[in-house]
Amino acid sequence: MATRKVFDDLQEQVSKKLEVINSIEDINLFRAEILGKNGKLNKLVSELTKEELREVGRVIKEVKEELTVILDKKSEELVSSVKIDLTIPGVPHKSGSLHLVTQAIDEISAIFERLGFVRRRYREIDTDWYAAEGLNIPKDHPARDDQETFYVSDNIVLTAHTSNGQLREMELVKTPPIKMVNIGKTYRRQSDVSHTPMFHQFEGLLIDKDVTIGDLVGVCTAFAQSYFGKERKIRLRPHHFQFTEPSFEVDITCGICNGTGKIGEDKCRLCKSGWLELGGAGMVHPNVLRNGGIDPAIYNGFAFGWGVERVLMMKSGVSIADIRDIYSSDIRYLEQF
Amino acid sequence: MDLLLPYSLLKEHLETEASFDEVCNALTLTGPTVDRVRDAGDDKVMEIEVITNRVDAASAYGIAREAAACLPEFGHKAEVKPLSVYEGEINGDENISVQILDQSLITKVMAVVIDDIKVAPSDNATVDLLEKMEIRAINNVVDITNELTARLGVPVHAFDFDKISQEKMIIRESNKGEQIKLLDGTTVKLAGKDIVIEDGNRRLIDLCGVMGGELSQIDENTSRVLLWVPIYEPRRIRRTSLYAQKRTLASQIFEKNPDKGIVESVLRMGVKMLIERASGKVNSKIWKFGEEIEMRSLPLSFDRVRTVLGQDLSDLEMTSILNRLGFEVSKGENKAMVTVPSYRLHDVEIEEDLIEEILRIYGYFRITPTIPTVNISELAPSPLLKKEIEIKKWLASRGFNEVMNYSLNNSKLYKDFGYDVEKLVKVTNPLSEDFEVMRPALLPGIVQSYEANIGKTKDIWLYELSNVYLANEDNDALPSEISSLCIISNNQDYKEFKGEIDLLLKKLGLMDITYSTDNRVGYSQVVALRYADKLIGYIGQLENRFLRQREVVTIPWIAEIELETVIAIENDKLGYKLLPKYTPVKLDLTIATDLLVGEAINKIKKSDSRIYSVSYLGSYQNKQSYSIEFYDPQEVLTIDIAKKTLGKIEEQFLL
Repeated sequence: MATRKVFDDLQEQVSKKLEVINSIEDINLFRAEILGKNGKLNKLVSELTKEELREVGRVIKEVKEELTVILDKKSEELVSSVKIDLTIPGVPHKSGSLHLVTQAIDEISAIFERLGFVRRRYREIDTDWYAAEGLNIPKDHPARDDQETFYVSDNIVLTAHTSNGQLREMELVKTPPIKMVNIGKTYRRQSDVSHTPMFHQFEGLLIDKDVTIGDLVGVCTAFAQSYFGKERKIRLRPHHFQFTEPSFEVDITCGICNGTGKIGEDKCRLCKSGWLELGGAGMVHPNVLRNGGIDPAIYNGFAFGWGVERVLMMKSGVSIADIRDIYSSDIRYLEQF
Repeated sequence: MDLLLPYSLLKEHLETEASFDEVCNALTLTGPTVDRVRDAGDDKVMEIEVITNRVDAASAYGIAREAAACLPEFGHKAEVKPLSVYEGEINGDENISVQILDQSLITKVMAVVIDDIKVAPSDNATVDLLEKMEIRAINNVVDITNELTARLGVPVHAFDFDKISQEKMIIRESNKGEQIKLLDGTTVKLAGKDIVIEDGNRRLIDLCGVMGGELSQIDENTSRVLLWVPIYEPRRIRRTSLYAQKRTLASQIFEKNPDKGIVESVLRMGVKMLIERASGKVNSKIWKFGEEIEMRSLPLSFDRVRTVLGQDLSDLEMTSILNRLGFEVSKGENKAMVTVPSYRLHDVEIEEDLIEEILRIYGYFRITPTIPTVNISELAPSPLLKKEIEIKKWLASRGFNEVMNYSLNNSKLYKDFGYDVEKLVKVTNPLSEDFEVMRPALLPGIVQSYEANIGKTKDIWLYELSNVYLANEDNDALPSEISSLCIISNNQDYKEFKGEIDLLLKKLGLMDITYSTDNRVGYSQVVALRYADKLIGYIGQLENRFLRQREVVTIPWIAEIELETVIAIENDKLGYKLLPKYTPVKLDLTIATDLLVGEAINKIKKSDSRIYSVSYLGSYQNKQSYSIEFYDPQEVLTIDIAKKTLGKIEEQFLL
């Protein structure tokens, strides 16, 4: 039949053309030419009379399918013949980064949020009252030795610890329960491989009725295990801070030697007999509670204050040789995190 | 402060069957921490951390007391050995003449004169002992004073009695500017109000509590020694040693208020040693000054201890612990009464202190951890804190690296940027001039960060989101701490940089920002950004002169955002734009205007509510071209209607 031949001709035309096509662009163009809305196949079909259409209706479907198959096959061949080395180094869009300290603060924040502590950020520059005297550290006291404080005036200091947040929080909330973590910048007159003049601390405070040391151990353990790992343990050692009584130093088992203090036969170089110092803690001193407007006969509580950079360096396990590197602006360093 | 204690010395004061490791472990867990251990032949030297309030543990005897109190808790027997002191009568012909001009300067002192002293080098055992404690052996007499300090924790002084003019001593306050030549050969000018001793010829012979004077020092000819065992007023000692920069062991002990109760034992042990090692003979009565020690008794509720502990602990156990620590316990009606030993008077003042004593010996490691489940009503962080971290994460995901610079910087940096240095928040005791003032802005610091990367990284896109500090006009009021954001980028394509800023502001709910040209130090060109007439920031290009390297090819773009203003702006535009049901009609428009493109776009958008979008095509001289899409959800717009609307818009610009 005449019509059938027309379709056969079309198929032959396509086969011939396919032998010379050798680019993906061309095969796509050709495909549209043949199978497109205004393509050759549809044009042919539109030229058929009603009678002819009835006769070759099914054939059209078969032809279309056949053409699609050979066109697709050619298309695939061309695509798959463009072989590239899939292992070449990638060139991504510019990648940004959060600062290491921001990441640490974010993670620390989240852990305490889960424990039900509200996140605060109190003043970096505060009066001597909030920074020391109100915390039971009188002027001329030897305890002031431990913090080399920057002074803005006789009465205004750059806080050397986030403990001013304790008094501020007590004044804010007024009636216990009080449960907060204050994370902010702190300053000390020190600059060497393990100290920067500006650094960050996080300070936890919980005040309620009948708070126990067990509660303090529980919260510190929860933090330590969330941040450093489930297998880590903490211990408290007696210490002294003017604003807590009893006071403790909190240690955590060393991640390198697993708390044994030894690596094989040798002493572990990172820790002191299997333990690393995390920071200070204690039960809030009754004078501090009173200064914050809380009655120590009814309420008591615990507090702890630790260094963000410190826990950061302990977590990475990578010994950052010089803490001052943390504040580098070199992108080659920043983008590693 | 750190104490170096040879284990051999400790064993002279402590009787126990516990091993060395067990002793160190027990001490560390319940009291003074043994930080490190040094090997010293067949002996070991313990490096012990003595905390500020435990000066009673700053000696071999003090550590022995602690060990005897805590070792039984670990199942080991332990006892403090009695002190080996001169038991005989102390009497003689020598007369000690001391005048104390101000009795607040010294709380207790005992002194005695020993004659027939023969000064010679100490024996090997003594030299060895002192070396282990990093103390230089000098001669038998001086070495005895150092050994007494190490054993009993009260720094004693030995005067050459012959060198004290008229054998007269006056203890007084120093005057400002007075000078004294010390044992170490240095001469110190005093601030005044220090505790000093002058002799009969008004010569200063002792800087009390800190270091002895050269004038009265022991030398090889000394034959009469005045052994002096004092307890000075702690605050003055601290001030003197800090001012004179002489943080001697003696000053570190005296400033912490050591035990008055042991003074006589120290004297008698000293006498014994001087007799045995320097062939001395006691030749005076004990000269003493100082009130009787006032004993202190504190009430203690055993129930309260159990509450704080959160576990069971019997009254009996608690009493036993207190007794081992030297506290006497007597039962009262409701509470027990506990008497504080003299060597803990400086530190145990309230019931909480007693609770600490019991619990630390009991062992904090025995405490079962619990999680407090009390809930507070307000748990959400402030909007500022919430938004800050969102913005930081957003910018990081967009390809910017966050930097964190020190808040303290060199005042010169801000002077260059046009800040009046006098108005900045200044530190009165800076570490160096690099940490002198608190930054009033982030820009200068971030420019330094930018420079640090030139030549090292090709794409330098940085941001810093942090506090800046503005001084309060009232010097007594606290400075303001304001959260700010600064972004810098060497992206060659300004449109991309501006796009990032637009996107950031959009994310914060601020669309339709208005612009105005402005002037600002640091920028070669800049526009101010406003939202609803509130200033929210600036965007522009850095002025070339702020980059110290001259061969710089690209001058970076910068943006400063007033973060607190932005976050305070209430906007809950959580809605979304409905997608058009039919294709909007798109028409191009070219206008001649002097307005900034941003302003022109705002004007166009405001002119008709059926404008769906405005795209900027480009500018040539003062002509600007836009592509405007028209859409009305209520009716399908025809091209004619759109053209008419376009005409009206055009008219606005012709006015």
